[in-house]
Amino acid sequence: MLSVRFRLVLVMTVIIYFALLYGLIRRKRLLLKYALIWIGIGLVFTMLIAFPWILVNGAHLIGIYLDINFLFLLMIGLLMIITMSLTIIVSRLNDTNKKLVQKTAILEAEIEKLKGNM
Amino acid sequence: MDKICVVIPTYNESGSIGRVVGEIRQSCPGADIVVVDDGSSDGTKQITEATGCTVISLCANLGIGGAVQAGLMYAVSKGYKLVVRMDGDGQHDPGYISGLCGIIEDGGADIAIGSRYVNHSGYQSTRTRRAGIRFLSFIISRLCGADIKDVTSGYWAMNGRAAEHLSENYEQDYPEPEAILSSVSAGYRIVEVPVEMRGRTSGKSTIDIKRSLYYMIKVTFSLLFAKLNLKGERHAVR
Repeated sequence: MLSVRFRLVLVMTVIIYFALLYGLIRRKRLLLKYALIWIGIGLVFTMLIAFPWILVNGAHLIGIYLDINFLFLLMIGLLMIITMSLTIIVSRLNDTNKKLVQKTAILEAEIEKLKGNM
Repeated sequence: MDKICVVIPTYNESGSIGRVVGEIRQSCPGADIVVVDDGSSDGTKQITEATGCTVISLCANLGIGGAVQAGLMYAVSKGYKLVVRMDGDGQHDPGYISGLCGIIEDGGADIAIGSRYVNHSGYQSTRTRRAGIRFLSFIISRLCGADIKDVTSGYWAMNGRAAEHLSENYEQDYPEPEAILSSVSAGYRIVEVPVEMRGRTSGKSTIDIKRSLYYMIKVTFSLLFAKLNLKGERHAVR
């Protein structure tokens, strides 16, 4: 079982986490679209603090002796999901960026031609 | 013969591009030349502009595939029926353009690839590279049945339909092997035509030893994924 002290630490962390997230979204430094995954992860942790038995049972279920280790495993898993989503976003950006560069270059060539014809 | 559009991707080829353009004009006087400059920093763009051919100047470096794709997009938008894609470093002899295009015009194929390994004459590249090319050639033949020997050749002639297909499906880096796979799978007929290639006249190859490993790994994976993708699409159609 998580100790009371550690649960308090987690509560504080989650509060700060949500405050930061809120600030970033409000100032439009973080698009809500991309913040959803961070909000989701915050909610997962809130659940775990409110109902620690989820952690205990979950750890037991997959054969981990210490529930804290299960918590770490969960954090690593969630971080990997975030990193993956970032890579997906970068790939999509790369694609739009490529199309933009190509289109502008083609348009530029067309304009130069038109100028030459005038 | 229909009007030919010659697409040349360049990246820092100031030492050779002028001569390449001149040679093309000599051997194919009617062809329109489109040079796609992939963000060169050595004045390639200015030199090319001075020759009077169309220059598509990418404001950021996209890699050779992105540059070729831009050139193909341009050629397709202009409605060219014959498109040639060749390198700007002088390795490809423009003397073969009319031969390659002749095959396309006669309807012998949709894509004609100028190949070093049909007659094994001219510049053959290093032993390790040849082994890599043989390996990729083997994979491609396994995946789509096409027997292409020079799978990394950048000397292609194609008709308008094939150009349109490739302008929509082209990898950003090291695109040639996958372009073969995707074209054959989409039903385009490819033939290999013997050509002699020359060593580079200036500049440095963009593929050094360190990148060769990346090249092989990346291309092998992308071929496998492309194959899986194609399978998935066919499955979805059913």
